[in-house]
Amino acid sequence: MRPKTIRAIRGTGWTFIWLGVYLLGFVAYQLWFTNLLTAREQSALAAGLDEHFAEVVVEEVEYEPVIPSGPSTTTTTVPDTGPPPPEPEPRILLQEAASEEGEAFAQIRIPAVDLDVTVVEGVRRRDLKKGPGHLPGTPLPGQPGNAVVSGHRTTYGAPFGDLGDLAIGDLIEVETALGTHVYAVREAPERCRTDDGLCVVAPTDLWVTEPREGAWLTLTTCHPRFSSRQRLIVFAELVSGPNAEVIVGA
Amino acid sequence: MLKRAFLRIPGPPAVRVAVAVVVAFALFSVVIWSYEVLGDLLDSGGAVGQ
Repeated sequence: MRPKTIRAIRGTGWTFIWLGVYLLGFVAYQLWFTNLLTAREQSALAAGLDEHFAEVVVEEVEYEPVIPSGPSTTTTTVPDTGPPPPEPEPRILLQEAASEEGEAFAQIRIPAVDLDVTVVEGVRRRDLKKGPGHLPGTPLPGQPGNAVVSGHRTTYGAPFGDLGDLAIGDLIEVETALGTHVYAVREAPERCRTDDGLCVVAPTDLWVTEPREGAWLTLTTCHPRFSSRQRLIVFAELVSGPNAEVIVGA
Repeated sequence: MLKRAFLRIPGPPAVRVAVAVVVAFALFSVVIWSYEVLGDLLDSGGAVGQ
């Protein structure tokens, strides 16, 4: 064989060897090293969570229940005379101050999928490397409306790796400075329901984060596994906790 | 191959080592950055509308 041919074969061989090393490194980085990073972050966050609970400012605010809009179908007659009806007792809601982005503020536990992780504020890339993140602009868990929490499904500890295994009625506990808020998984809305009962949407489907009547927790993660093409959504409704009686009358 | 590339760096051994360390660090950074970019295709964190 000519030296030029030998050099070409050798060069091709080395290219494939380095490509193999690169790909092996990629797999190791994604499936092992990112888990180590998140595990280390989670240890530090969990250690500081009790301190956060002790320091965070909790205040009492008056709860204004959401009244669905729409035309009234009943007519009431108000007498012209007589004393006005008594004012209803104000309903008091406990509210905590929001944390800085990247700070731990809650612990989320889902016994059905053996999940117990610390939640941080924010959904930037660096926030989600630490653990599940709360979407800023949505209410905190335990508050009226729709609290949205996102998390990795495959890498960085895969906190929401088994989200697809949740069934209707499974309980999700979120411990915050106010106490433990318990949510129950509800049926996926028809507009996003797949044949197997999951809610799958595009990454740009912002309607899943919109405010809802009552108190809801919406968990979002990538779908399917090993792809960020779509989002898997789990909707859960508050069933008990420090504010449940005020918001949902539980 | 790596040894040959190292010997091609001009200058005394101390300079060669310094250049090799800088190049290795730069390559490592590029590799990790590419892992992060490719990793986003596998799992971008699950946030909606980001």
